[in-house]
Amino acid sequence: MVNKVEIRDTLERVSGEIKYVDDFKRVDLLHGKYVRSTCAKGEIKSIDCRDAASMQEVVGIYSYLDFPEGVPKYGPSEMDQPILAEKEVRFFGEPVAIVIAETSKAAEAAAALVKIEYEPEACVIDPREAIRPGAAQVHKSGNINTVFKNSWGDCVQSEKDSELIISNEYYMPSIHHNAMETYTCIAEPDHGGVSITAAIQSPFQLRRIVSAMLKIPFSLVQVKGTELGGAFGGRGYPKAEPAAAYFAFKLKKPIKIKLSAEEGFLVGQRESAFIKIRNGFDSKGKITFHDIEAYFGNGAYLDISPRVVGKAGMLGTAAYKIENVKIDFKGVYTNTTPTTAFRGFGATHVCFAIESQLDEAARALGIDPVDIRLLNLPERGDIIIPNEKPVDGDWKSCLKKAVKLGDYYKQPPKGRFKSIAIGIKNSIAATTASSRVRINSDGSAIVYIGTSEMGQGSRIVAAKYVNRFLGIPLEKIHVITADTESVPFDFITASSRTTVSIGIAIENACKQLKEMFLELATQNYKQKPVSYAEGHVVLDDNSKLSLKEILEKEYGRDMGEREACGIFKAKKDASNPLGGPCTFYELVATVLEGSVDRETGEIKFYSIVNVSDAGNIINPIRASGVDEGGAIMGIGAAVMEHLQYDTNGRLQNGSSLDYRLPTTLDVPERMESYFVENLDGPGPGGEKGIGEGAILGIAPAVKEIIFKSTGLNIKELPYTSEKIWRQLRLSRI
Amino acid sequence: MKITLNINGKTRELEIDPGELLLDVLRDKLGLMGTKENCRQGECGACTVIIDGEAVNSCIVLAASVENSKIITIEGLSSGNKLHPIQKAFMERDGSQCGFCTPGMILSSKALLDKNPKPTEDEIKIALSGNICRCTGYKNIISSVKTAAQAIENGTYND
Amino acid sequence: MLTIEKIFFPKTIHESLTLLSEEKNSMIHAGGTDIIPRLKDNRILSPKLICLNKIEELRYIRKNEYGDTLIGSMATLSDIESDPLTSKYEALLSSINCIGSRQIRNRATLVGNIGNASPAADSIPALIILDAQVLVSSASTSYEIPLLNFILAPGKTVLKPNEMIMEIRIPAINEKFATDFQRLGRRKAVDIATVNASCYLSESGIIKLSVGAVSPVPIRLHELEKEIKAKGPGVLQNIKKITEINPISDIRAENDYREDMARILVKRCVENAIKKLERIK
Repeated sequence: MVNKVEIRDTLERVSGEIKYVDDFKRVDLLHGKYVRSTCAKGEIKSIDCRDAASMQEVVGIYSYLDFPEGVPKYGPSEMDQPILAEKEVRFFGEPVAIVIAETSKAAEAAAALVKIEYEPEACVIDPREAIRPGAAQVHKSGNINTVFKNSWGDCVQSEKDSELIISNEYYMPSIHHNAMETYTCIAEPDHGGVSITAAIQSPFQLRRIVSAMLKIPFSLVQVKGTELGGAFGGRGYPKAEPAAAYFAFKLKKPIKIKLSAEEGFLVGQRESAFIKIRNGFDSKGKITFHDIEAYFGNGAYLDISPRVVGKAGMLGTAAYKIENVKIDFKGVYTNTTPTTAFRGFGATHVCFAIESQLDEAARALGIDPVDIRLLNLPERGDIIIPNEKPVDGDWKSCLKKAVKLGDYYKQPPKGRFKSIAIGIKNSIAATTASSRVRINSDGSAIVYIGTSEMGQGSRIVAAKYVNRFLGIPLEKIHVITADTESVPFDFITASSRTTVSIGIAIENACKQLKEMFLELATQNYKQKPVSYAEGHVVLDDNSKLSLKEILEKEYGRDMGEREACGIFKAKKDASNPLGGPCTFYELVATVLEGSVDRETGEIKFYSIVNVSDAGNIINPIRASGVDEGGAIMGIGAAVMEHLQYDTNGRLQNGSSLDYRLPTTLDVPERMESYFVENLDGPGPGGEKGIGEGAILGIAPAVKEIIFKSTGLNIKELPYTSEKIWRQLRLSRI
Repeated sequence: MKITLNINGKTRELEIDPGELLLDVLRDKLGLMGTKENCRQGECGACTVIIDGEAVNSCIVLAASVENSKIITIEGLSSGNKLHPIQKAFMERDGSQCGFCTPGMILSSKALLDKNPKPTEDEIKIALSGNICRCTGYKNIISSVKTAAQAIENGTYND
Repeated sequence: MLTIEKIFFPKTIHESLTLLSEEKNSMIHAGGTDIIPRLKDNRILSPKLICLNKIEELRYIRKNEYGDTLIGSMATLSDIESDPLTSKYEALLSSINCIGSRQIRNRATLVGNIGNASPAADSIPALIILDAQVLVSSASTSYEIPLLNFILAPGKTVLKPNEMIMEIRIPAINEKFATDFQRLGRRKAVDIATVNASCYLSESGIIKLSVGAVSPVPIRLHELEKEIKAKGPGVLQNIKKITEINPISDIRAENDYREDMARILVKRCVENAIKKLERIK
């Protein structure tokens, strides 16, 4: 029998039939093309559209001059980003004007003819510059946009009791998501409202933002979420969609905005971060205090970056139980592409710093790197952050499992070294998600979820849940996703939350349905229903009724249906700065083996073994595949990926030619993902989320391989061959 | 200008501009949307098609320059409801996640296996090094190609 | 869509040379893997393209009566990789293996890699050490020039607008020899070389060294060759830098890294070539 979920999620991917936004062929579209700033910071002196406007097929050219009452703004944290730069530009590549034309070719040609003059001003690119007194200001409000502080215990006092104090400064540059599908959206007028076809992780956030921007109710904004050609956080929040929606609404015409791969570098990045950290240790390696200050380079507009700062700050101690803690995290504006969600969501930065500190302390104290981690890891149930969720796993045994499976103590061949690191992330707090499950009159089911499918296999998971709870065969389950007019609310597909949040919602819906069917059987049959089992209601004479039979009895042949909506609602707690405790922790232990060529600085990897504390795995092959993807993304971020800006703030490597990503040849001989399944997560079967963990420990593990190979303690990513070579050379002088 | 293209075994006569790229002709003129567009500079492999037995980036090939060549796109790989063994292997071994790089990956794999039915792991890696995947970390892709090679060798599938 | 004024598909060599001399602002399109991205970025404006795809007589790899290896202008990099006639040129094959991806090598030609005259072109140092000669033709003349003299500056060669490269000739080598190629990029595959180097070593003691991406054009290291001949390959352990090169800094690498890598790669090339020669002696 045909399994629609499988067809959609696997078969149509290998057959090439799956459709992304750009694959919906339409002849009635207008096309929008941005004219982007060539200046990182400055005032717009003049905009000359005459040549462009005279071109055939051009419908209109718009800039801030066309909005005397102010340019419409959008953004998930605050509505702070204008759809077109308003008098001032704040980052290289910011949209200044948009050409709308009948063909994409005409839009592109006309955009090239728009002449814009700027009065350039001093800019800041790096958060380290942006926090200096007298630094150029990205916005008049000052460069600090977010402050997150937390503390407990007494760092000052415990400093006196410390055997060893380690202070360091770490830096991570911005990197790019580089999902394979380029940013594309279509917006069209829709019976007085607007409908947007978008590849986005949060259709309901886009609906909210467009509604606020256009000042029309949610009911007049439809977001039709499509399949996503990868996301990694880069499609978490609106990018070009609000502009498309605005012009479609204003011009009453359908408009497509398709960004090139190069333009993708100008819409969203991972935060850069400068981290100052001081740790004290006792002679056994126990962390006595933890004083961490971080400055995240957030780009020119907020996007979701304040939340990244907050999430990172909340988890400012990573996986460890520390008595005396001071956390001071700040979000800082820079004249760069706005930064947004990125796999790891700030936890990558924290883990890099803390894991590096632990390796350095272990060396200084002559302790094994595994032992120092075991000493500082908490037990299940421990509270490691005040007002935050207690530890929900056996993290020490997860680490031990990685040590074993990664052969950490097995001596590698000469010249090769092993390292270990722990990554942790707190999944999103205080959100909600709903699912509807409908039983058709023939006994088949349709599941409606607000989830966006980007390759993680959420349809497969949803169908498996319904199969598990209602006993309906997978071939009879269809899953509908991400269209705000047909699916119930889901906050976002992010933070590795879907398996848990949708799982709980589906479980809840299925429970209601079971009750409904038992109730219908009670009403319509002589025998007494005793239970619900394997897709049937069992009666007291041991006979079984199928769902189809029950519906037929109630409504007549081939008529009627039953539907239930289940809701997941995360705990709320006003005393938690994030609004509530995290839903679960995602913890991963990574064992890496690599070597460094001391002449060229090249790094080679032989083995990556990741062990994730997953609770319960529903789709094992996809779970491993997603973790392997995270690990290789981690390798990219550790050794080759970074956005390079010149001193004028112009992005130098914003293209597929010069932004280097890992290829097949960067994959080590051995790459394995394992899971600890203690059925201890909040999901209906004890699930936690996975997908982000595997990236977290890679950078610090690479750092340690470099140390073991060369004696270098390099605190700034990425570890390009040249950087290692240069440090080696400096160390010889 | 008028050209004749042989695509997936069918001859198509088309009116094109000399500057039109094969990728755009396939997608916009022939509706073969399985060929994906990303970098448009021959770096990512999403637009890979097979031309006269060789994997090629269709984003840097002028359509006019491949007149009379035999072009295979992902749509030409399966016959009717029957998937090609490489496609089956990608399903079995979960070689696809978001799916965007998948058509290009599969066509690069086909070009490899047609010439070299028993590739080593290194040969697979080299053949696919021009196809970027951001989701999988490549491991399941590489094992998909191995599985496909095995299946073809065992005659489990009839190509 | 690219802006191209006109595209020609000549069927013979003669026809293409005639077009090249008669059509103003015309350019040769061989594999197109370099010219198409340049057209896309408007680095070339509205040219007339003379597309050589249909000229099968230019797609060859063969030997002449003297045992020289001849590579026609439409021979693709993949053709060369799989041809038994080129299998003994190990450095050349390794260098070709580093150019782009499989997809690129299936379209790109060796002649195109030379004609682009990129300072980082991987095949050029590998061909320089083989004393490769470039056969140039126009509608009226034909001449041969050493590859070393063919490239004048980044992107610039001796070719006049009416001339095109017909063939690369690798002269027969009548003694036992070994070659090696080394390169460094920012990742292991599909990347422009940060530095590359090639070495030729023969039984009679001839040594030839060439490096790329460390000077405006790939060069022979005559001085270093002399020093090695005079003092033996041990000198490579002690030299601090190669004086003949003059690398630049760009987003791929700083000049001092390139400078030092040229030294390392040359050293490794020579060591490998010595080992290889030992094995076949």
